[in-house]
Amino acid sequence: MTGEPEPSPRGAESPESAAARFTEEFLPNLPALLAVAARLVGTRAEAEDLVQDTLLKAFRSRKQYRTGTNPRAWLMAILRNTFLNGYRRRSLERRVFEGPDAEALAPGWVGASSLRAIRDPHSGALHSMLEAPLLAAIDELPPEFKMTVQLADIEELSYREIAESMACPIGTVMSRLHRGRRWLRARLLQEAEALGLVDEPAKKPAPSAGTPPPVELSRYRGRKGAL
Amino acid sequence: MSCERLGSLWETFLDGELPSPQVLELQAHLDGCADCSESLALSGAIRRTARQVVYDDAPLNEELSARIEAALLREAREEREELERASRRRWLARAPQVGGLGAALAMAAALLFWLQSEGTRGAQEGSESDELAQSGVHDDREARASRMLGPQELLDLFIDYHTAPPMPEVTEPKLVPELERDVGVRVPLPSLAAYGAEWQGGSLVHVPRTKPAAYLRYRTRDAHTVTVYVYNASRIPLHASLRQRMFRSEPVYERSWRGYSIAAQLRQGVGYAVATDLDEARSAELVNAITRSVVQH
Repeated sequence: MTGEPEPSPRGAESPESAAARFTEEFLPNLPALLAVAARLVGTRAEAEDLVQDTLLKAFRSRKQYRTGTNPRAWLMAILRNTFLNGYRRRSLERRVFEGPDAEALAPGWVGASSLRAIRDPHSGALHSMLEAPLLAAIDELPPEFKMTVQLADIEELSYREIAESMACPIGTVMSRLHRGRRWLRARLLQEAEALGLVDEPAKKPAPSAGTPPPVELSRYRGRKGAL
Repeated sequence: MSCERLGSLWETFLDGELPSPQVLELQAHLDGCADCSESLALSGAIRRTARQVVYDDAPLNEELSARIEAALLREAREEREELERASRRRWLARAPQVGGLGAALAMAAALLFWLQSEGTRGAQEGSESDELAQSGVHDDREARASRMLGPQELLDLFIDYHTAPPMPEVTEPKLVPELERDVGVRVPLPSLAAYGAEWQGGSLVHVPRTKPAAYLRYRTRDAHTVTVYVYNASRIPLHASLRQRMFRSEPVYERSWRGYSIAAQLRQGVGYAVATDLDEARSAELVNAITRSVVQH
């Protein structure tokens, strides 16, 4: 740099060293960004593009990052905006939850022994036959629910951080988590029954109470418009 | 507490967002209710499995990391070229009026640049800042702040990493030495089994303006998280943010901060620090156990 006119203001670092620092600080979040992006868009290639766009945008607006806050939450907010502004696909918009927050899925509706049957007692994870159905069920969630559940269950962000990432109130985060998880759970139990993992019949007719059926977005909009 | 009421709380509990009085109430109920305990275990299982299947479905590959790093560098280069163009425009616009002043400014800029590149080493060296102030160029505090973290910031940073852990880069003990190349000091994997804590994974954490620190995460059987840092103590003066006391006739540095405690000890230029949600005394005991085990090996 010697001999060149100093291009940047006094004390500011050069863009190149900023890029190196950004890489060090934010790129460790790449796997998490990719995991979230892969659920939001249809193909691997699109997911990679979404992540790259997200990181470039983050780099351009690096001065807005508040030191001491969770970098992952900040990146997720940018990822979400990038997704909404161009990656959102019609196919994923199809469904949305509706209906009142019906009766909570009472824990007693399937007996303890059935619930035990769908877990692997050693690993504390689900029965391996339920792995693929779980991923499929996650994919069926509408994007905002999916991302909220993912940030909470997989990335373990706090409600406050999720609310910031999703640009919504904490109450909305909690409601989305509640409904999204209840739905995932109901789907898994259905699947477990279909696979014969659960032989005991449900004590309560659960899915109708527990599963708000996803509806077409156009119908939902129509309803909203009528209000 | 009824099962019905519990049904609306257990997710909040698993999210770690339930206020403690309700946690107690919920635990009391769980002890006596097999259905609810199973239900809670199922929620945990769903999370664990979701994490695994989602990550397995989106594996990271080297090309993507490389591509993104290259894109960031390209972006930086463009930004820099734009800055240079803008600076030339300003310079050209000003040049006819300023005449001799331009040369003076250039000299001042050169002096400042020289001082910046020379001055990296010392927040403790006061003479330089005096010189700068006298030379009338600038107060360099700002420039210095961009280079080194103050004691308070360093303390905050280490607590931040404890509260918001990075993704583990290594989860196999034999890969821990791989961290050494970046950290620049030997990185052992201390056993905290005697304290009921099990190692979960390790990674590097960024410390501005110097090499990263190694980050080793442990979890105790009663669900406390213990973070162990190993770093070059001459570059990362964390102990300067802490209070010194003697522990088993050795100096240990400790501090409670933001509801956590952190304790550090130095061995041959290597810093070992422990951050926990336990009290200072426990953190100090843990860090001492680590430094003693390191010396033995």
